[in-house]
Amino acid sequence: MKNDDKELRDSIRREIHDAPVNEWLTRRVVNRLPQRRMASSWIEKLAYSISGVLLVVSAVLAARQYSFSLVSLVIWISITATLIAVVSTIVADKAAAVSRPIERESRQDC
Amino acid sequence: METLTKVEELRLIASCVASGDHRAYARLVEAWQPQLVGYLRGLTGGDTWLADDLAQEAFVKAYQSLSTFRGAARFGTWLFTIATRLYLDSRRKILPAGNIDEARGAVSDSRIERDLEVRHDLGVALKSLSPLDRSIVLLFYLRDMPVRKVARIVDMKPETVKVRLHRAKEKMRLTLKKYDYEK
Repeated sequence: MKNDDKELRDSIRREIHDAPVNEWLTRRVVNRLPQRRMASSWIEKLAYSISGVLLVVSAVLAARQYSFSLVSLVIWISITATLIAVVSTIVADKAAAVSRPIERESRQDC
Repeated sequence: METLTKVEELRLIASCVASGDHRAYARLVEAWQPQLVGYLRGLTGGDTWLADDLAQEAFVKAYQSLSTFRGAARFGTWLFTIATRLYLDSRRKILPAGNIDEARGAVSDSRIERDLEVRHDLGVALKSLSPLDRSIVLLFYLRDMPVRKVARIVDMKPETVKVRLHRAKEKMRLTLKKYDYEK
């Protein structure tokens, strides 16, 4: 009867071995890995927010002094395109953060 | 089989987090795969397909949340935590009452009886344990983890793990006794 800890440990290790490296499993894992977007830092978020506010302010100012000309049309298009780019980047960052499941890290020393 | 030091592991993880380096992660997978798959095969009673599926899922989940890994523990400990919880969750889905604590896993009495005739005694004794107790026994005896670390992985107090280990050993002893008697 394997009552003793050491005996039980030995017999479990005799029965259950480490599996050999399976390259197929490694390939399957790697193929399933998502393309990682780099998490944006606080400074990036701050820069995005400031540029977003500036864009909105300049859009409002430009609208107030609007008179039809080719130059003002180009400025309007550029401001709108940049605003869309900034908003979509922020939304994409948030979506990536939400889709990433959070696992609680075990803080055990090794 | 590649063995990585903790520093090498952290370097690879940093590379994965910073630039999504899949090759760096493949090295981590290859380094931890033998131990993890071996452990999962023990947990699943030698079901190699299920063990491989769980291992695959655990590696992918670990990668998805690599940015939350702070390096206080070895990557392996963290990986075993994810794999153990995946296994316990999979058992919860299968068990009708959903009681992972007391249930005897997916193995019925009749199946154990049948196994008694053909399987090795230790495998039968392990199968007689609940999925949670089997995880505790294998982490402690097979992976040689201290009680403190096992407790973290199964999200319990170390004292509870000690009691469960003791009860599991007793249950295994009784199963083996029955097995010897029936032989």
